[in-house]
Amino acid sequence: MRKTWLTLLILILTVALVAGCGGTAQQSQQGSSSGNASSDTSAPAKDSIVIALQGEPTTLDPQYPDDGNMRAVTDNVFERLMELDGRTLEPKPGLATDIKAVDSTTWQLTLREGVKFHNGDPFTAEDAVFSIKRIIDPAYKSQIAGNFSTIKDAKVVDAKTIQIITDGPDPILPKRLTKLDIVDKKYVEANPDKVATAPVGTGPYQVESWNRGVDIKIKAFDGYWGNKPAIKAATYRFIQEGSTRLSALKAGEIDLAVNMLPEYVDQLPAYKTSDGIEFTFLRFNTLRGPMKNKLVRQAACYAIDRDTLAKSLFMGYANVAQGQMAKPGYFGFNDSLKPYPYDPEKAKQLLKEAGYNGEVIQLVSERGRWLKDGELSEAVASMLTDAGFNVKLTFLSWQEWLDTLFNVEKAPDIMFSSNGNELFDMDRFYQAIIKTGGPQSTYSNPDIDKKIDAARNEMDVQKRLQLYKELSQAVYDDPFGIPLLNLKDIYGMSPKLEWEPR
Amino acid sequence: MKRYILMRLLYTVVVILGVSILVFVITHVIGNPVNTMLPLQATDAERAALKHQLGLDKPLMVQLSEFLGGMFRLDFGKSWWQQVPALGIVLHKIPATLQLVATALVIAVVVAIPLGIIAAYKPGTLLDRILTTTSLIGICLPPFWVGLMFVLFFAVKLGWFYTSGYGTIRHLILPALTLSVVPMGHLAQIVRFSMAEQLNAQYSITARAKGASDFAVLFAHALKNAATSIVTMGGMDLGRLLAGETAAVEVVFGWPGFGTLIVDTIGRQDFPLLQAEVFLVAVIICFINLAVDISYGYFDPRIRY
Amino acid sequence: MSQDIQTNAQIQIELREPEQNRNAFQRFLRRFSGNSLALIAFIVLMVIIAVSIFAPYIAPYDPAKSDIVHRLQPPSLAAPAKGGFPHILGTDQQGRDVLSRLIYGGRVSMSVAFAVVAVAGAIGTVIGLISGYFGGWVDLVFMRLVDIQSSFPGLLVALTFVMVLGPGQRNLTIALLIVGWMIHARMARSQVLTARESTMVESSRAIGCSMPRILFGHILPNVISPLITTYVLEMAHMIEAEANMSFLGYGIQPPASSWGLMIGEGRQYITNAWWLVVFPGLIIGITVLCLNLVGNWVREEFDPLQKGRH
Repeated sequence: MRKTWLTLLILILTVALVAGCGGTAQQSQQGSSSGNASSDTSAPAKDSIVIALQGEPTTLDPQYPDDGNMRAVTDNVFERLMELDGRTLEPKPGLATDIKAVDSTTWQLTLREGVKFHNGDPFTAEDAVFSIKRIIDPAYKSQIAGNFSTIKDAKVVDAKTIQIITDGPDPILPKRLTKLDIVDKKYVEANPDKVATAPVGTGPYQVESWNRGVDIKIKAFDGYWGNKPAIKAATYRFIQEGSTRLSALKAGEIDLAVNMLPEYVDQLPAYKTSDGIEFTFLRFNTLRGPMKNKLVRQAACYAIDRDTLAKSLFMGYANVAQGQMAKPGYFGFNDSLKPYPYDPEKAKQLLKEAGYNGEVIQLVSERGRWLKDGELSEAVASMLTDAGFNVKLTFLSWQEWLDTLFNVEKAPDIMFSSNGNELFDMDRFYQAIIKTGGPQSTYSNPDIDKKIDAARNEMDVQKRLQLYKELSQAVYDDPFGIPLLNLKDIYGMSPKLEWEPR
Repeated sequence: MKRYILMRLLYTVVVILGVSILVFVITHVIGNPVNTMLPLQATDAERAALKHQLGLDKPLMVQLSEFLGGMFRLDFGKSWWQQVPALGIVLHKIPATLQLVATALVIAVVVAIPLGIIAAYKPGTLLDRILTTTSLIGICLPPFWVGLMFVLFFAVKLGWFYTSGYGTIRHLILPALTLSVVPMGHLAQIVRFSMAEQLNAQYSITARAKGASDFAVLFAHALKNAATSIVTMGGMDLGRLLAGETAAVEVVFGWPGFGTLIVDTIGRQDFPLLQAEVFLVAVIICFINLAVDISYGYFDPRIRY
Repeated sequence: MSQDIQTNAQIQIELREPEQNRNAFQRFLRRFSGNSLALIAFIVLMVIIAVSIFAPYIAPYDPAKSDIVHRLQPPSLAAPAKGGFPHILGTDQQGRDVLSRLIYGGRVSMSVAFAVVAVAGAIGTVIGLISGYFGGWVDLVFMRLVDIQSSFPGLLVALTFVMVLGPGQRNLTIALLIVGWMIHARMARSQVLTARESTMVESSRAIGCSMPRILFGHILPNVISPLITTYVLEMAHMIEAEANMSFLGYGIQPPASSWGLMIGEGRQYITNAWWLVVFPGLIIGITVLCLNLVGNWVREEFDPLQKGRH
């Protein structure tokens, strides 16, 4: 549900700022994130950089929105109990130094000592519990509360220990905590009007100023408990247009730009790519209408030439999804699945078999949220049309699209969507999109529902993996939709910047 | 004169009221803000609660009178998007646009008036035809497209200016130049036609006969008499630009001004912010018109109020 | 009725030299004498309109058919490898033929502008005629309404309507209608005020002609040429307005297309594929320019007061 680069940016920018940026081109040739800004060069290190985001954050209250522009800022300002290891996709200690399961529904965390908030308040167990309770409070209506739906309660044990209680066995709770920013209880309670604009966290950077419509400035926090970042300050600018970000980068106005188009690569002074987390997909309405027929759905699967989409439309900067909404490394990835082959003749034959008579098939999409989403939808619509589907493509505004996505009554025959699995675990996908009555589900199968719930509470890793393999095969054979592409993130960089995405 | 200005001010108040009520009615009768603010699986109870919180459950007339009451205190409520007073946001964005528009108009005046005079001095010549046709072409090209062409040529190809952003003179030149094209065309045409007319007028001929130099004739008589048309046109362009017509060009250049704000407001369906923008636009346009009217008296002594 | 026609004919004859011994087309062409630029503009305009109307027969490709293997191909006179007509204006981000999309896009741009001017022109003219003819409070009410709207920039009103109604061709047309009617009303009114005092109208009133008959039978035909000027110039204005709104994303929505939207969609590729942005902008410029030249010509040619102004 988020732009391609959103979550990765979290990891990336933290890295970018901590890793530092070299002052000379020589250094950048080495292209490693280990370089210290002043290690082997006499040239003065550039200690402040300009980063171009696609849009302005709506708020800097990190617990509230599902907003990647904000994450790019707040991930450097706030910290979490657990942090995600960018290479293994597994959680590692953050503000908690240790986590262990006390029983099947209780987790105990030991908190790091000597951590200070930007305003000087010490980080306490109270803050951790407050942060958890705040984000799950239904009245607060956090847009990311879905990540924490299994958390029932949290309590202080002693000054450096807390417990988290889940509503059932939850094997991926530590992963969930990597998405939960820790806020300062005293500050939030005392300054409800400042939370959104003047955030106070424990991260390596603190927000210096937010000049609405112009920029956000952050600077290194002197009292940071961990390694001090090499870059002392950063300015975020908001440049909506990709072509404008490109020109600004070429003109040297900015040092790092997110979300570059594949077409720009040969014009970029320097660039880095990383595998994104977004999987674009088409969701079938299996509950009613022409797509209820399994044969019609399979026909659609055969009608899409995913390789050409990846090679031509994305110029190779996308991977074809392997018949599922996951890739190696995700918990629940099924390595025996392959995407449906591109076979328009087979699609036509299946349509004939299904008795499809050219009924109108609504394909609803949006544009502007993900890289080339509108173009991808148009290309897919064109391929379906070629295979004999009578497709009517409609683009909705982002709000209308969301409304349609979450409202099963409004579900069109086919809906273009994207799923970013931030926890790298398939639970969230099946809960939201496959399980009967799930918030985005237009699929219903009681057997599958049972397996989804069993997998959620299964603490045995092998058994859990087996359940997900069965699930992925089931929704492949009786297609829930078409997993399309896993997009790569392209970052445009100034040649002076030395930085590695992960 | 005082009486006239007083009447005009009174009339201005009526116009501002009218425009504000018009927009209020459009947004509150046809539009449904709650749907746009609470899209995600909101329950009916939540919708009702938000309606109540925003005061949208009251009868329309009550809402309207509250809105107008607030307007007289310059209070348009908090922006739904940014949760701070709406008028403040708008006022905060005005200087950037003002800077842009002022520069654009200065460029336009400096270029257009001499060209218009040259064309008018020898009407019907090739030079005149070239100048009139070029100025017409300038008016006909979509400004946002002109901006993109400038970006392509001056920023991407030649690298002389920044493509976007705000802050320095290198940021300012391209958008200002883009916005100056249309007023430049308008002004050049107005100067050309009214000067040609003035030069043919009886008194010009008399003046020429009396032996004043051509140059003196042109300036002393014709320009002053053509000034009313020039000021009218300039005033119209100024009003048009300050009132949001800069939007597409601001978007092209990433200029954080009033035009960009309008586009954002529409995208986010922020009614209080829209009302504040509408109010400010109406005020700006009315006062520009008033200033233009008063200037007539200065340029043309025959006009008395 | 025949009497009216005679009266009109007589007035026409009084205003202009006798021309009845030429056929209509020759007379029409003659009007362009001394203004070859206007004639060229007129011809170009007719070509653009004809191409828009007959788009399905003229466009070499289906404007919606994407071919992503051949996307972003530069303009070329060589026949594409797969055969068929050369992509002389290149292909766009979906591999669609830019020329074909320009032809179909023009259809949308022109029909929005035409619909707006036709409806707004009709409504505005009727309001203006009535307002000017009756004067008094009717005039006061209508003209204050016009004043209020005039002190409000068209773009902001149109955007407000689109915000409330949602974007798309139909709603865009409605929004531009609401913005566009008053200039016609104002124009019609000012013309009526002049015509009302003419001897002809006074005598019609004296012999007891009914109001609609005087208004539409006597006054309208005599004020029609300045009104036509307004229509033509407003066409130009509306094409620009449509382009502006679509460019900002609040006008025509894909998969439909218009010239303005083509620029908006092509903008992000401007550094790679200039042809996506340059051609739609040029065609907007050319169309608007031609409309302006023709409009100015109508004004100068048919309005005796404007004659000899340059």
